Amino acid sequence: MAVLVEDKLLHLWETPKNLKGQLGTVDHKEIGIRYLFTAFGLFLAGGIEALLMRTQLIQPENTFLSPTTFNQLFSMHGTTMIFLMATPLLFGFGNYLIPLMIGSRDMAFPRLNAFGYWMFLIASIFMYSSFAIGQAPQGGWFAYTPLTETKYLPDLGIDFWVLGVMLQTISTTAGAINFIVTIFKLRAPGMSIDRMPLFVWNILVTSFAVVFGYPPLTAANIMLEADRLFGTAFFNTAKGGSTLLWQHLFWLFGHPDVYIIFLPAVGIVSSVLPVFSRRPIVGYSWVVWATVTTGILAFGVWVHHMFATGLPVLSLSFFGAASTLIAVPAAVQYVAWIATVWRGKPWFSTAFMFCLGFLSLFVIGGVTGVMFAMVPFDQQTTDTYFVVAHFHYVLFGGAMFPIFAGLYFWIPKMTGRLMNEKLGHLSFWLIFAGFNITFFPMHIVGLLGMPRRVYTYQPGLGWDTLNLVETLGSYILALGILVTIVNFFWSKSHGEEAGPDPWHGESLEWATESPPEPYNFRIIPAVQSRNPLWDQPVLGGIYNERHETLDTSLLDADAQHRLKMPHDTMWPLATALCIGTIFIGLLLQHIILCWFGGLLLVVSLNGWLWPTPEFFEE
Amino acid sequence: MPAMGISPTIRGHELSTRVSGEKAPSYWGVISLIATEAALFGSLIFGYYYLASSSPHWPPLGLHPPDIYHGAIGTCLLFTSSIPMYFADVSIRRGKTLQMMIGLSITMLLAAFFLGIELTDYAASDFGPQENAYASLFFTITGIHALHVFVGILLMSALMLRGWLNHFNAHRHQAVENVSLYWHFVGAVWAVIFSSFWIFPRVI
Repeated sequence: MAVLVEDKLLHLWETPKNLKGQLGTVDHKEIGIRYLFTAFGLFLAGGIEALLMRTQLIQPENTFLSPTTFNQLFSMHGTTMIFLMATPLLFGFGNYLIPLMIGSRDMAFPRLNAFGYWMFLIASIFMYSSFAIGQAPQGGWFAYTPLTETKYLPDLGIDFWVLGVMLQTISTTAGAINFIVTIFKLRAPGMSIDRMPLFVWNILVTSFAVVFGYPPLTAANIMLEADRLFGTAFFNTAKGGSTLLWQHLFWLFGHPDVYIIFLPAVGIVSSVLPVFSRRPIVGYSWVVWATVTTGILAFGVWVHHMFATGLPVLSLSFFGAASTLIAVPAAVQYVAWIATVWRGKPWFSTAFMFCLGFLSLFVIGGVTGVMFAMVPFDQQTTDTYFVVAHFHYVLFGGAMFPIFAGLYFWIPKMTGRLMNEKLGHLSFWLIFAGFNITFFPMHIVGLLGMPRRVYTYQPGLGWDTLNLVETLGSYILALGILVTIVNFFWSKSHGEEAGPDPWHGESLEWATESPPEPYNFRIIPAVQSRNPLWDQPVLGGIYNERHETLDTSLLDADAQHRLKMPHDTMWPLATALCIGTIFIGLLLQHIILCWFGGLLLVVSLNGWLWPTPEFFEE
Repeated sequence: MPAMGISPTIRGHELSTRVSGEKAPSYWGVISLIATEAALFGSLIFGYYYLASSSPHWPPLGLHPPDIYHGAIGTCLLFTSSIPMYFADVSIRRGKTLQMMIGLSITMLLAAFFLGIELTDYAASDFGPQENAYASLFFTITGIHALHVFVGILLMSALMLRGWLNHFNAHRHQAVENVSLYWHFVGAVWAVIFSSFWIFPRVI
């Protein structure tokens, strides 16, 4: 009987291994892995850009790179790491893990999920094709006007940037909406909202921040592209426009975006730390409230990016205070993590080491962050390497270290094999040392007055040795990342068999096979605790042998309905290609291409939404 | 609280697949889409008031606010169009496809009139979007809204086609409810746009 059920489920849920199956798959695990791979590839691209820049800065008056190339590299480095790497990588974890953690068979909108990935891929190719024609963006990752207006940067670089970011915004928003609905409606029966794993909470808050945080950027991008394409006057001061309007809208997005990257990353920490401390997290409710509070406060601090733009003093004081306030929920979470380790019996695996690395680096990044909230200090250090040091401690220390922890923690789930611990520890120490050697001296060189984004500097300013050290550190950092890559490929075929639950985890993803079957769970689990695998000796549940998952109530997760789930389909890919065509038309100012893409878009959306025969079955 | 024992196992087949309204995932999907769209319009309108507050005259000297009569008629048409949309939504919940189609047709007609007025006003305007920042805001914000109205018409056409093919009944009508939510939102946003461009410059 049991075997029969599994065969039946496999037959219903499996994606065929042919090309059609691969292009049409809507399996959240496959899509999640694609997100992770593509985003990691972009992490390497952004990393190579950084290494090239560091090589240029190894000594004063170096001529390794031209000023234009250097501008292109720092613009694409920031854009890649923020838009094309960090969020997609974390959404990759989310796509793979959320349905497993909440005991569902897929995301709420599996086709939208596939669409989100294709849009991300198209956005990345779109953005990087600018290098191929030698017109990469040069406006920095925040593309300040008036520099980015046609008058000052007439080539296609900024158009690539604006349209590419808009494409990626479509992908991110689609992903966020999918997460919100999945988390609200598809949780396993009994997983009331106060029993959700913390990673799920963090993805939920992040998704809300995306829904409300990305639109200001889209508004700003619409205005900038209209200025560039049609000659409107949004940022043209001679015609009543304002360059500060860009900064307000950009940072109204930009600061929440820091937390859009940071929150899922600390969600990983909140998942990994308790497992390797061998106890539940201390202060679950406090951590949840801190996460929600951070998500809300994130929208009230954007002006601290603009302290040097001559705003009224009252405004500076208000935003200075708000920016200091946001340290409070961060500290609450921090204390919860420390207490969890303290009260537990730590197991020093590689994933745990990366969490400890995060804890130590995040303090430094957090403290310099509070320093920036002090207006006079900020005005002294703005646009210096001190800022570069700060945000790398926050974003590399605060997001990449948790991401590495997450990779070492969950890759065994994805591949079925453990990563090598010796190589893992080696990689950790190289990355940790390399990171600090690269970025700590930037604090000093920044206080000594070195501005960011300069392609070279003169000797004798006291910056030479520090820059040399930074560059050497970046090579060590790169070596550390390389070790993890080698470890992954070696372990994928030679690693120890992981089994379903190698770490004795507490959340539902560890109740599945490694890698999980296409249908995730043979029986949709019924949850009675925050740590079901630790507290429930027998994980009972709900039988369902169809291509369906369960629809549960929003807060208490009572089973309400069966949901018919869509099958593999090419329409999401077709839709993404149509949108890509429209954007290529806009880039090349080719109006016929835009209309053509628009017309096909209507056709593919109809194809997507057209009901399948199953829709009519009761 | 350690939970022990075997959990109650429900036979999944006993649950229904008839899901609609707030219990349907797609309802929440559309609500989230509306939230992000509202934030987009909010950001654009933020741009409007930000530039208005830093300008000595609004609209700048030489320009007049858009015609109040045309604006008022358009507003009436768009607000009124929510009524037949509501009628269509309520009808299909009772399984009445014909009445739904009638409701949708009237909504589409009113929407088309609204677009007609807007396009005539664009054509008759004595300034273009390049004139100054105010003009850019006017054409961009009303233009993006008009695009939403147009998308609404396309969505309703798709519903008409599917209604004609008898896709909907009293248990399967979530698509109609979703389009209806979207349409009421397009009307609500217009209230903000109308107040900002037509009324605000006349009362300051």
